[in-house]
Amino acid sequence: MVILQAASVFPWDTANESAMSHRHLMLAYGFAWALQLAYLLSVVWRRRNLRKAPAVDTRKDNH
Amino acid sequence: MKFYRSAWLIGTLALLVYGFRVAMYGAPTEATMGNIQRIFYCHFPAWIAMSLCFAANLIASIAYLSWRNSNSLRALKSDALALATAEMGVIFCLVGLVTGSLWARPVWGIWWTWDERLTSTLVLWLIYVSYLLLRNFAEGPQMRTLSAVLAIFGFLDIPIVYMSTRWWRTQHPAPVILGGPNSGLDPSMWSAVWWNLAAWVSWGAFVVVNRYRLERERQRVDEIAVLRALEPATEVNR
Repeated sequence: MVILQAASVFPWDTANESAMSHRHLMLAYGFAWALQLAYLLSVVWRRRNLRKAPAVDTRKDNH
Repeated sequence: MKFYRSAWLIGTLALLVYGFRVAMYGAPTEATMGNIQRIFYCHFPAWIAMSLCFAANLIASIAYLSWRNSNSLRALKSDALALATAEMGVIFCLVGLVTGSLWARPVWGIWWTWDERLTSTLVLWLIYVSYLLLRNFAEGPQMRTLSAVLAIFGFLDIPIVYMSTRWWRTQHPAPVILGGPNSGLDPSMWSAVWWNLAAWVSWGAFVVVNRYRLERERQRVDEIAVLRALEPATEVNR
């Protein structure tokens, strides 16, 4: 119910008269940005967990 | 180093925001498709970035196979780069498939069709997903060798994907860029193409560098674990 109410916040309309109100267009850009950001965050998260591994300092070697 | 990486990330995010703005407000509305055509400025850079990632994966895989018996450090670095570029390529490929499907629905009236371009691209995505699964469920030098060989065979699908709209009659339109006579973009659209291309390629490179560093750190952790496991045995042998 909350999600359905929140849907009205997004600038969607059925007429698709402006770029920012085009449902498929916004979904496409939203999906692209969300997936890419999620992947970057997963890399940062995994790297942080690896560095927390017990008594292993991996930062001394050259890359 | 951290400063440069932060500056790179901020610059890339600024490029992405500006690219989005140019795509939505700067580029003209296409005459036949209308606003939905603006997906192109996200769809096309995803394919270019994916191709660059898989090409880098191919080079890194060949480099790994060349150095695996002669220079282990270079081989491990190549392997880390191959993994980083494969993951990023799979992400870009998925973005291309999904944005293409969202574009197809209002224009073709269908979400998906089994034409040669779409099917060969789906096969490409599945090949690289299987590459990542192989790397995930196996370990050691044999896994690295097998995945490098798989990457070389997997890359063979890229020319098929690219040429599919020329070799067969497909639902997917013929190439707009480098498509020969009667093709091409309106000059007023190129600005949006270049900004978004620069933004997504920069983003891809940034994420690949970070993923590469993660993999190198993981390789070093594995090396340390192996050395520690060997320590008691060495002491006993003395």
